[in-house]
Amino acid sequence: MRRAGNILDHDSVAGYVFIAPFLIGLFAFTVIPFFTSLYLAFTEYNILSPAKWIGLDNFRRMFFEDKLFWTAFQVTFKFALIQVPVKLAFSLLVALALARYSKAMPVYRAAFYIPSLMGGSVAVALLWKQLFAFNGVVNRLLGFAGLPNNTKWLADPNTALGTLIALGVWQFGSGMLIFLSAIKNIPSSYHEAAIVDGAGPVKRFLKITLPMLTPILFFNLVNQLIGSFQAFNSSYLITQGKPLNTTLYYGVHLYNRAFTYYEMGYGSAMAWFMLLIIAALTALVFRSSSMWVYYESDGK
Amino acid sequence: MTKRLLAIALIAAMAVCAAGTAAMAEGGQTPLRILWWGSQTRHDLTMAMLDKFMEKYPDIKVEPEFTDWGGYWSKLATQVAGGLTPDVIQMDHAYLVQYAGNGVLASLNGYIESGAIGVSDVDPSILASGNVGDDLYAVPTGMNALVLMYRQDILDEAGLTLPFAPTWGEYVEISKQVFEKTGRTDTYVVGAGMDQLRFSLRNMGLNMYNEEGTALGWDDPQFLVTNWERVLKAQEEGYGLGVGETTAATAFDDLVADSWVGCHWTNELEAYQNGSGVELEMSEVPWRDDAVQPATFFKPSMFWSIADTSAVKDEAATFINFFVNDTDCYDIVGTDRAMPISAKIREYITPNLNPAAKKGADALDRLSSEGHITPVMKPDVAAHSEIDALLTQYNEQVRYGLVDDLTEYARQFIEESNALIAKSLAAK
Repeated sequence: MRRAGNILDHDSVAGYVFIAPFLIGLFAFTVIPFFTSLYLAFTEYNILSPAKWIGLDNFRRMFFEDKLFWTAFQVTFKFALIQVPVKLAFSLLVALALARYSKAMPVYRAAFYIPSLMGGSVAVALLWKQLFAFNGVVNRLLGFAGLPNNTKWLADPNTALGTLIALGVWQFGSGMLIFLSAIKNIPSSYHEAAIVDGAGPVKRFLKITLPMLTPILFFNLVNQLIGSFQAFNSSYLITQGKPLNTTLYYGVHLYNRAFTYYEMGYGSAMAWFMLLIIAALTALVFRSSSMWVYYESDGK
Repeated sequence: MTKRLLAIALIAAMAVCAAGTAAMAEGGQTPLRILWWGSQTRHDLTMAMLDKFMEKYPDIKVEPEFTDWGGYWSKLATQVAGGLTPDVIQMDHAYLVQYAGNGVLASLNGYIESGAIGVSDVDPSILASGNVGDDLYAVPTGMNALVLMYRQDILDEAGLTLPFAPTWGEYVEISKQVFEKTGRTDTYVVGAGMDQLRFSLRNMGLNMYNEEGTALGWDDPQFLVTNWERVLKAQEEGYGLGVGETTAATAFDDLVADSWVGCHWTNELEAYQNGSGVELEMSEVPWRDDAVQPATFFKPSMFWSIADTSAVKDEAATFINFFVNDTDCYDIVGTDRAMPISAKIREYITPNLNPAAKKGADALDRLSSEGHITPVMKPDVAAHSEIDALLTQYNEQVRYGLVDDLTEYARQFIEESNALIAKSLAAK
């Protein structure tokens, strides 16, 4: 009893009890599944019966047999390589526009941020599906404007991925907010000095704002790169990979294999391969950062 | 001291929370988890039916769980993997072999022998559709048939009638005229999916898979080519809805927005009428013009199974028995899970059916009285869902006009499907 008492009296015990709900969640939903999936990547596991060790078979199948694997891989690269720069540029542009001082600004800022609040939600994806449906609002508006209104946005292999990218870009809010706060942090004295020296707005943007923003640009780039490679919702909810697999994100293919066909082992292998790809790309971006990211304090 | 008290209090609080959720279901009653898929209509009916069940068996507390078809199989698999398999599982023909083969389902032979699940009024051949090997793993909820559901109001507008057993030639002609006279397109004529393939095979006395389940039961690419040519022609001439021109958000909307006809199971009539808000009539799925026998079959719409891991198998059997034999159950659910398998129950409900259910029953009667029913095939192979998805992909390629040589492409499908079957057998 005394021993137990001593343990309970210890400072750290109360602390651990307090963080226990978080720790339990972390272990149950992150740490354990993480390592379980690493193990499962080398097994054949149909959920219904125990996993069977098959070594590297899943990876062999991924690289040499599964045609859709490479299709999905390409789609995801294309998606990320277009969406990330467009979204970055767009959020920076909006941030610049909103950085000016005006009384109505807080309202605009909130309004521009709203799409991101609803961002991951199923409702917005379904809304997008309706907007770009064959007889949807977009085509009708085009019709009113006298433009061709028979584009099958989501069903034409040439436009489907672009329509989904547009949805992603529209949800620019969180990146924009981060840019906005960074822009506000740039000391106005820099700009004043430049104005005195006769620098125009473009020059000031290129020589002051942009360099000062590079750490934030770097942060947003890494974040969005990772997010884009993990994209799932828009394809799963809107196109299910159609038409002709032109919107089959890696994540959707993985989900299909794992949850539709009960191939958890194969799904895990795919997930780990994607982790490696994302890690490699992130490392690449980090490496390159010394060439283009400017830290005022020089403290890298 | 305070710290100690605090720590004890927190631990106690967590323990109480954990115990609370576990104890909730207790209270002298046996909890029985039941999982099913379905439409809103089915959820409402089933919940009412379960209330009745609990009223009659007050020592059982049903914990209902339901979802739509789309999320059902990943939900169930996840629960199985997590050791949380529901006691009673609504099962489908397409998944029965897979689940029984992996030991998820309990053999029901004992309950049939002991009479806990009474089947004296059930035709043995119907019951046998839930067999895998020598064991019964699933009790059919009812029998139904795949039929066309169409809008008579649109046919009236065009001054047309659809025969009860149309051939494809007749059907396509009507579809064309509907389009010419009303401007309404057809989504069924451009379908060419698994069901259409299966029906055209059955018309020629063939099955999708061979007896042993080791390969496809056919090797003539012409079956696919005929369907694809029909689709391409319909698309080109406009009476078939063009690819990607779908405006319907749900399968129900389809009958309002894009088409005048669809292919569904007889028990779904009420759901489709409710969901689309239009009155529907039924006919047979079109016959091949060179058919040698009817293709329509009575199929168990779905099954009830018991989990092998269930600790309350007896209560689960009590529920299944209630569903098979109790008139109180059918006063509520009617034919939502298709025409009941017990002859006595069929007799009991027939006079009291609501108009939609009556229409479904009449269609089934007419199918059998005209002798247009051929025996149901064995359960599909384990790779079936993947082959189904493969066919969807092949169809998409064809509909987008990306295939030049349809025959060669059909051969490729046959080859790829056989490879999928071989792979899934090797995995076992």
